[in-house]
Amino acid sequence: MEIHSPEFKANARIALHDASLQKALGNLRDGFPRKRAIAVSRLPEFEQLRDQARDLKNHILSHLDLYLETFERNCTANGGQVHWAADAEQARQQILDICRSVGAKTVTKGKSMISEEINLNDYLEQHGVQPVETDLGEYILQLRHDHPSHIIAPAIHLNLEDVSDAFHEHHPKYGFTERTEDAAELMAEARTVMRKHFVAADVGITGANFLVAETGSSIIVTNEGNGDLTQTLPKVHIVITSIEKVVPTLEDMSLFLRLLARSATGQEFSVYNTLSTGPRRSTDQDGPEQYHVILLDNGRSDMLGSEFQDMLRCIRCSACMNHCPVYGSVGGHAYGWVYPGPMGSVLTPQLIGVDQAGHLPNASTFCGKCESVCPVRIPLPKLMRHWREREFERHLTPSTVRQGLWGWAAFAKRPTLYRWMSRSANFLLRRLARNGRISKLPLATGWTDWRDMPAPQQGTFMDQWKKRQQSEQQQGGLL
Amino acid sequence: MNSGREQILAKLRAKRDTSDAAEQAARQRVAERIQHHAPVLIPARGLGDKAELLARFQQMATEAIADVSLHETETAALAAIADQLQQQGITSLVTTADAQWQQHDWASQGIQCQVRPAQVGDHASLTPCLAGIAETGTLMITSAPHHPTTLHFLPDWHLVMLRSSQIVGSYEDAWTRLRQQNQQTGGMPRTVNMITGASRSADIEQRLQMGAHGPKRLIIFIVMEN
Amino acid sequence: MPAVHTYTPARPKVALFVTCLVDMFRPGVGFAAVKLLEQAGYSVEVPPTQTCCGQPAFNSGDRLTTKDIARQVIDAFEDYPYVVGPSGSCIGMLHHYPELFADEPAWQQRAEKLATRAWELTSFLQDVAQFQGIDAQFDGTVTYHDSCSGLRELGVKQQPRTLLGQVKGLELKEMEESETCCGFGGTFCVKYPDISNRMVSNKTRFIKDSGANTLLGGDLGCLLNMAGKLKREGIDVQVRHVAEVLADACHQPAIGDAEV
Ligand code: SF4
Repeated sequence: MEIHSPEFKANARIALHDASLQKALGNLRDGFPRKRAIAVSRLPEFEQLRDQARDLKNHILSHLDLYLETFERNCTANGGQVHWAADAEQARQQILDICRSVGAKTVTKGKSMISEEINLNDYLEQHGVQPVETDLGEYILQLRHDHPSHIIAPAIHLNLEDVSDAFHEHHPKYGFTERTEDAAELMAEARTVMRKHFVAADVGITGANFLVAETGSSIIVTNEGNGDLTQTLPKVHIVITSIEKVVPTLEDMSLFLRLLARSATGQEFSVYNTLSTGPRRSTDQDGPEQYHVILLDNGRSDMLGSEFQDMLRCIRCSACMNHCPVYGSVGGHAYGWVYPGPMGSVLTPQLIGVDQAGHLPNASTFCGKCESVCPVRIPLPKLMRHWREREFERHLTPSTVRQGLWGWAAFAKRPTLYRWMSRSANFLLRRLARNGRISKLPLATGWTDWRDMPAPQQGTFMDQWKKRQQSEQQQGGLL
Repeated sequence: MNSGREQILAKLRAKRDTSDAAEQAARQRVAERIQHHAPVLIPARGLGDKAELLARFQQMATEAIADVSLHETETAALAAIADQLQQQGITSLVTTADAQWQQHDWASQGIQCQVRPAQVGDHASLTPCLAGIAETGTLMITSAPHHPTTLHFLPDWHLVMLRSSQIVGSYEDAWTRLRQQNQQTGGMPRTVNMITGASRSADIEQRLQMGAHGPKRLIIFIVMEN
Repeated sequence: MPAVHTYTPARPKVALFVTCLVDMFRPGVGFAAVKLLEQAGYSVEVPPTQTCCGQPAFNSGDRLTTKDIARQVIDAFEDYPYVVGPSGSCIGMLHHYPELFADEPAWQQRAEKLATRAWELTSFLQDVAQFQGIDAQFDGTVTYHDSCSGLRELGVKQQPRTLLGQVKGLELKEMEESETCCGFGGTFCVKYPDISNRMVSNKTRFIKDSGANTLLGGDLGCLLNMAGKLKREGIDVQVRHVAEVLADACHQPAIGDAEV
């Protein structure tokens, strides 16, 4: 996916003026957070589970190579093949090689953010392999040459009419010539079309929510069932996933599964939680003949042991973006790359460079809502602040900000000067005010373009307090 | 060939203490965790006596949009299945290989019963399961030589026979059952499905629609055993 | 000793952390805080070398400046058993100081000591002083905005509401999403003004829909933001810091209202 993170501000402005996007974002705000709150209230152990999930992830991260090796051993013992990819290029190459080895023309794909991260679809297409997205949302996006704006609800930015248009344009060749705006009919249409693809595909590619070291299995968590058909019907099943997804045992995975759906969609459990272990057994009647797992690093090992290590706990539930007022205002595309919202604001600078993604960790009020809902308790605001520190150290912070800060600090470090500055600002602002407020303030148009600046009350607190102390002392002297 | 592997593992290893003693301790922790596979925390709702778990399973599965009914015997359940198919005008059923199911008189109700993997266009399938998990009304179903996974996904209706003795409280209880089964079959099955309600999507405007790519209905027949 | 105060020497001391916005914009909030603390039986002092908590530098990634300012604050407030401020955000910042000094154990210890003694005003009154003597009258309906830092870093939620419950004549009408950020975010509101505007617009809608005629909160930054937006939109809701109502100090015009 092309990188548009440097244009975050412009992207955001466009998004704020996009009425249909704003309507779609309204649906999100009213949906997931409310459902999550209900699901959480129904499970009294939820907060305890969050603590344990955080601790278990920390344990895994401090033994990551050992768990990955265990996974590899058990996966291989069950007939699977494990491929290690240090970066996106290696992963793409490995996938293409597997596709070519079976002469694949089309591949079906379950939803996978990693495949977005490595820009897999474009790559496969360029090399003569046609990928078909099978998740309904992803499929709609593929028809529109669009990209996900959310990690679990990829087409959240679209409205019904957009879907109708896309299907009406692309489905006549399957016999659907009437345009419909009935959501149920649209889904039935997609179901019919997709079945043809499921059966025709040579290779099925899915992501994985977790890898189980104990059994060498991968698991996908979905509601539609597309991932299951993707990984069951073709001859070859490729799992594209990243190294931090490994968990020790099935029991350990259960801990995360209890948190995942509730945090994500507010469901008690997703409809399909499916473990795949190796290829079909010799006596099985269906299932793939080959099972490959691509383990992608792509910068993650650099995070281990760094101040960003906590981010590796992320289970991609999307709760942070569902609850984020900035995401809720501008949507996912404004972030300009694969991962949006608070988790993206921490992860993206790592993956594409803070020089490119510098806006993301800055575009936050640090309201802390994300951290308060994160199932693995990632301190997202703190990690965003660490990115700001890196930017500051590397002089990537805009010079106006640096100068302003320098000037302000010069006063803040000198109480007497500070008193004077506070007094002057108080005086000046009062001079500029009419009816208790200032409607235009030359140096703060960012503020006054949108709202008034309330005028200060007369005189600073410190000055008045001093006077009060003095007069009390005088009175004391008189008595 | 696997340069990526060595590169990644070396980077990961560099981040932790690999002195002899520390390395040995780390390996032991990992080995023990895997060997013991102890539950971390089972919520209270995953615990209870048989009657409680049965009731909870019914409630949670129903909430997850599955149809649940209770039957005295498997024969009675099969009769109910045939009635339901007939009422909806469904004339074919694909199933796993199960002697008793084959012996049932489907033909008299105009239903053709076949044992095979599912195909596009199938209307209904009937499968057994390994466990019913009360905490979320979830079915655990495993693939096997005569139990193809496609049966759970391609037909419009997925019918599941669940014995009351198969109902457990938590996911952890179900893993225990799976491990017992693995001991008999020689290892993990290719596929373990955990299914909670029927297929759905909310990808269009956040509005829930049933029957996305998997079955439009999940119908669970619980056979009471004592 | 100032003779006008007839306190017994046993009165515990509280140092008031005024905060820069209260100092410059709304000294009345500072005096309201003093009044409340005195009513609760404390003797209030205002360390004269205080300036700002350092949050602008901290949130801009300038750790060195933040540390300089933190040292200054630690020095200024070292000798007091309690440090109280009418802002969850600034007091929250004081609670961040220990993490700044990970490599300076002596300072870290001092920072930790400060953090354990630093309280947001309403939580101090409620949780520490267990103050029952609110002596105020407010004839009107109010709605309460939970400012983010106070709420999520310090757990300020019930305290202001419990205290407001003692105010005669006051009726509380909760707004929808009282816990959602107002879009102020310090420098955020000028760095990303249009996003901030969207957020504050959502907020003013909820405020208006609550039907209350006064908005209260515990952080002046957020209150200036919301008051400014309400004024710009012509929504007739008065905005005040909660301390003004609790101290019965509403004789001055509300935030952004004209002086008469
Ligand atoms: S950062 Fe936390 S809340 Fe956000 S997606 Fe990851 S796990 Fe979920």
